[in-house]
Amino acid sequence: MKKLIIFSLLSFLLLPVFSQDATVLTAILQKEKANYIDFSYMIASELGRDGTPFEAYTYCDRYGNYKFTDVADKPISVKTVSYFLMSNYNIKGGIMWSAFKNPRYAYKELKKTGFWPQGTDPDMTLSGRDLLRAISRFFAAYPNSKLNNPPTQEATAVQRKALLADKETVK
Amino acid sequence: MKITKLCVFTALLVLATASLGAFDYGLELSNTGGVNYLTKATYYTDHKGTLWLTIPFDSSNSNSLSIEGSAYAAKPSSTDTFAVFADLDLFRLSLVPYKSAKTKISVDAGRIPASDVTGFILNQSVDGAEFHGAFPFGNIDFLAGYTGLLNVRKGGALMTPSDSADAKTTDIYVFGSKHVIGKFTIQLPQLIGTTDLIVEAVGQYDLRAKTDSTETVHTVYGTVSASGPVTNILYYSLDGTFQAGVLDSDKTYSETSAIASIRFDLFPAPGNQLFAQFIYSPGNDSLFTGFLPITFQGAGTLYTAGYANLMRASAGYYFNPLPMLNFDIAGKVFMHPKKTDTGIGLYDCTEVTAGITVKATSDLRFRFDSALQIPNSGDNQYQASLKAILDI
Repeated sequence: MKKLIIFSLLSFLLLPVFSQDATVLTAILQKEKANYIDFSYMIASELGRDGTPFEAYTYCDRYGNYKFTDVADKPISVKTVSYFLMSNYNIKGGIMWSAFKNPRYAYKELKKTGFWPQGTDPDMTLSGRDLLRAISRFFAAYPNSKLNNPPTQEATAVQRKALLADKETVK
Repeated sequence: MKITKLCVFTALLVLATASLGAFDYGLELSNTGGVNYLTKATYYTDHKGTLWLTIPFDSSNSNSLSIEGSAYAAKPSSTDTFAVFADLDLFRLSLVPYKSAKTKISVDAGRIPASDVTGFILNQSVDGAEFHGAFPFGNIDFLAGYTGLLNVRKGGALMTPSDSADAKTTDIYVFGSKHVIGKFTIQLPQLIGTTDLIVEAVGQYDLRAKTDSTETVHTVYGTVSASGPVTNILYYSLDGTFQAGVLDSDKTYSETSAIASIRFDLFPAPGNQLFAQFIYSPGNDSLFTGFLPITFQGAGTLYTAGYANLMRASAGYYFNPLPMLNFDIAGKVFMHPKKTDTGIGLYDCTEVTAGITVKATSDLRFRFDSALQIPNSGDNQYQASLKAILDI
């Protein structure tokens, strides 16, 4: 009962940030390890983009921050989340971030600002609830931040079909 | 050979634990350059590179291993040669074996920082273990440590002339003086109204082999500390320590002393802090000898003597107008309750220090420090330095 009350309160507090399907977000909140698709869906939701979670993933993948070898349903790490947020929302950083612009320094930048709580590790994965909290915290900390346009073209219908077909084969 | 074995063991432990989960690491480079005028104008530099590593054993990071190692190089103002040494600053295994809603038991083991409640007696690394217990009634800490494996080049436990003689070396790593240290602390939060009470016992036993030409000293310290708010912007802290011990030299002498401190901190507005402090430690007389701490620390910046036979009144102001900018200024007046060997009377000197910290970027900060000493007799002394710290 206590968990249900906390969960309901969290939902009321956090869900208004996101304009997308509450059922999908509820499913993400219950996950022990949020993946690339979940993260992408939250980013796309905040932008007000319609579409499925996988379409959100293909959209965010166009920013080039996801490793080529990482699959969409792999748990996303703290440093990858940091890298996406630092790279694409025009967040200024220190000397090392400006020089190298890699996931490690993105994580360090956000940790120094207190965005990541003490004890957070760069390769740590996040639960759905923690990921939602982190993204909400990010938009509260940087209210004027705006996502850049993706630097690469959208996949064609044929490519998208091939990607989805490949995903179905993996399943 | 022992160091080689220790390094191999450390590397194997790190590799084994690193495979358990992710780890974080970094490098901090610190460079200082300064000038001073003590008897003549000279310059000095200080360089330090610290490599650190943290390995969490669980997702909450409550069980973890932290390692810090440093390489030092410095040109002191007193010489023209560089002094170089290396040290393992930290090797801390942190574990939480028991945790409930109201109780938490945690352990830090390895090479860990150790400090007493006042910071005057013990303030250095030790090899050992510290147990922390948080209970509904208060907190209990117990520490057991050894100083004989520390690098003597870094200072630390220098209690006798024999300890200081060992520290005069140019080798990169030299084992320190052998002292076994114990500490037991009970903290009772809000025991009387808003007053926190801390009762602490610290003791050290000198393991140096006694010969005709060496001295050994064994000491215990009992401290009572009370602290709390006076108003919602004014806080106080009152500490009293009694020291007892024996010094084995050509004869056996007692080492009896005390140190007391009162401090007020005022927070009149956000980003503003003022403090005032008075420290008293008696001089040699029929009852007391000089205060002998485990970790030797100078009582000032240009005033390099310790806290024995000292009355120090100090006041200062910290101003933090911006998150990336911090100013501080402080004044200290040094006096002696008893006449010293150098013949200085009650008043010794006044020291004024001022500093600015600028956080240029999230990974680069600068610190400017300056100090001026106005002695009872003789020329004024001064010092100024600029430090740059880069976090890689």
